[in-house]
Amino acid sequence: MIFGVPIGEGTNLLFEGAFGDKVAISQSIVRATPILMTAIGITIAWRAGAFNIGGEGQLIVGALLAASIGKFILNSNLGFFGCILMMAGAAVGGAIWSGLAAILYLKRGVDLVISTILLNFIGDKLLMFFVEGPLRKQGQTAPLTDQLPDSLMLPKFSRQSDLHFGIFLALGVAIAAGYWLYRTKPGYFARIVGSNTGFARSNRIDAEQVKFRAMLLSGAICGLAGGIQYLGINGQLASSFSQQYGFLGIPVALVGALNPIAIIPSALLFGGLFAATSNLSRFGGIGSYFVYVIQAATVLGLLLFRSVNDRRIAVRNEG
Amino acid sequence: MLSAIGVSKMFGSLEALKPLSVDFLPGEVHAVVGENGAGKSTLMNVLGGFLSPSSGSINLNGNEIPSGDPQSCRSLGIEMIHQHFKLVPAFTIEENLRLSQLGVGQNSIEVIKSKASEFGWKIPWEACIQDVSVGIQQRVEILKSVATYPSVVIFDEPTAVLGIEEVEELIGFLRKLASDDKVVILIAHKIEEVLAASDRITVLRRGEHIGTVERGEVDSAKLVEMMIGGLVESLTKSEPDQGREATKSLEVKDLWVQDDNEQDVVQGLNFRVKKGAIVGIGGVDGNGQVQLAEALAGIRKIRTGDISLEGSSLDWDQCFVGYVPQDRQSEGLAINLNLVENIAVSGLMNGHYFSNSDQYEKASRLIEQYAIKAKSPRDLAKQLSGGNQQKVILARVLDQNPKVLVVVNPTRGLDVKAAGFVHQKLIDAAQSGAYVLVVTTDRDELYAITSEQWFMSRGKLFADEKEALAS
Repeated sequence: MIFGVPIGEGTNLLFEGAFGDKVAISQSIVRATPILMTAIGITIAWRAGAFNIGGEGQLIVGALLAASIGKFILNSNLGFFGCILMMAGAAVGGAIWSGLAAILYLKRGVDLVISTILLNFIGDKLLMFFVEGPLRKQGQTAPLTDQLPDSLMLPKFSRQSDLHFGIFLALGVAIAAGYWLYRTKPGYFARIVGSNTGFARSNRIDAEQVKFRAMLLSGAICGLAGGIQYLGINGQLASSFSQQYGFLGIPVALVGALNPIAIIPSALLFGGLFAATSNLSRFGGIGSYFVYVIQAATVLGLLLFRSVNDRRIAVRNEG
Repeated sequence: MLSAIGVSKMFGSLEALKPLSVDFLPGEVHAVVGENGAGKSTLMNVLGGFLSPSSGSINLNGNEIPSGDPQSCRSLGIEMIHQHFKLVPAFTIEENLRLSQLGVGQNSIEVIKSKASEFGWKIPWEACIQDVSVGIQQRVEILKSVATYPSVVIFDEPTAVLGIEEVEELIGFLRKLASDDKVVILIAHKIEEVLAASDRITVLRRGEHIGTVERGEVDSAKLVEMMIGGLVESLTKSEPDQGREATKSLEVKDLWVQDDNEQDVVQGLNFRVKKGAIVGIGGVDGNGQVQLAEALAGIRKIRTGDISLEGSSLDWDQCFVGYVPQDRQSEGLAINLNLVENIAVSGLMNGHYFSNSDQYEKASRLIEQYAIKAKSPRDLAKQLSGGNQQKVILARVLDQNPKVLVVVNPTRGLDVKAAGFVHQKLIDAAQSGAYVLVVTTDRDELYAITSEQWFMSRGKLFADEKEALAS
């Protein structure tokens, strides 16, 4: 027992809640989808040495732009094409949001960490403003946008579960990001810039440009995460739309060692923990916080392992 | 008297130091020389108590000193001045000195200050370490040690970081220290400095004690021979093409370049590099040489002026200019990436695809061709020794058959053999028709490989070294 939570039973319930049965597994995947997306987005920027902390803001603005497009095409017969249009809008929205920070960095040297963090707050307030104002459903008092019809949303696998097509999109983006990083010239340049800007410069690679582009790409992917969430789950935005997936992307990316393929299992683990939260709430408020303890312990444990490992290697090389 | 008696040191199965016995006498400057990896640093660390010997012992005035215990070695009066200073950059000089006296002693700052004036040094006591020159930092480092009245002072490559004048002053200081009846041990790289500073010289080669000689017994050629075993092949310089291509050249006209603080550090330079020639630019560090090299390499903006190649303006997008920057670790390599990734950066094909297998083959080929000591092309650049790192950079650049080659301090920190290899490669490149510019602060290097020498001082070029120094 720790803080009134029976650990053995709790851990068991946690596992059951994450991977116990079909429903649990599908819930875990649903949760893992946006986390995987934002983690990939974060990875693209970080590998190029651009420390984008603004996944959350980019996700929100991406979803907002998708919802704005959604308002216009609500009664059209665009069908799946409309869905693609909104996804594209989400990517553009995310890229605009990260692009703001990137332009400030390029033109004025504003630190990306600071600007992206601050843009998260602005993005959050923008969401509130839009769902209360311009995007609020006509004739409704609750701060909610219009409910999209199923025809405009991402296809689902069955009526019984929330599992939607977005996971394939996220997996596709992860694989594409891996390909981009390791098998294309721009990806290679990004890794060089992230590893040593002096080296990039002496080889006539424009580090600032590379970082700028990586930021745009990163924001677009985080924006897509917002689009997926909007078009995959509810088809409706509320001010509580964001579940911190943008922030969670950072530890998930780090646990995956900033390698897009390794991030896939990392995102599934975190998605599973997230999904299992509901199972623990039976122990009261403390129960759901237990999940955060496990999440944090995962990251800290990994960091500890890495630093011990690095030290071991360093000592061996010294000898 | 400090005596090493049958001292040896093994690292695993590697015999870093074979059993040796040497006496270091009070009143002498005793130099220990050898190539990189000869065992100099190992010997020094054993003498300073930083490593315990695998066999043998160290005696100070007949008493055995505790091995592997630097603190008690200090209290017995053995001080070591490290190559990399152990100072706190954000602290003032005085604060650094106080810090060093914690636990050791009763020496007040006044004693240290009087020492400094005894040496004739002017030290800005209130200045922060990060704001003073390397020469001053070294003096602070020395003051830290001599304040405890040591009987033995070990200097680990003290001249590596200093300019020419500072080196002379340091040598004077070493002699003075020795005349005070102290044992002064000097580890050094440069033969002339060793000959100028020391009374006796101990030569190591691959862990073996080749001999200890009086300064009068040897000249530099003999010393080099002892160090590397066998005479160095003297280099045949590359001379400018005299044939029908004699008129072709790389020409720099009225070139002005600024540094990062927008100061004009290259001021209206004019010079030519003839086809097949190596032109050298010497001078004390920080007189605009690096900015000149960067402008030629196409990575620094030219304010005004013109660089033309064989009659037309040099276009870096069309013509590959090989550039070997001065700092291997911060510019020459991405040390956390592997050799494949470090080599691929030059000569990537057009298009977006990055072929890992092609680049792996290229890296393997160059590793073999340049005899780079690496287990695999997937080794990280930081796992290689300095000499091998430099070979990686050279291999990458020369593999592109650059028409223009700009190198800055290409052999800094390399041992004699590795430096010779680099020099030969530069000469080969010139002979096969490249325009080569070597920027170096090493005079020996300048005269050894270049056919024409300039000296840079405050952004201007001088044909005469003394004139440059006087300006």
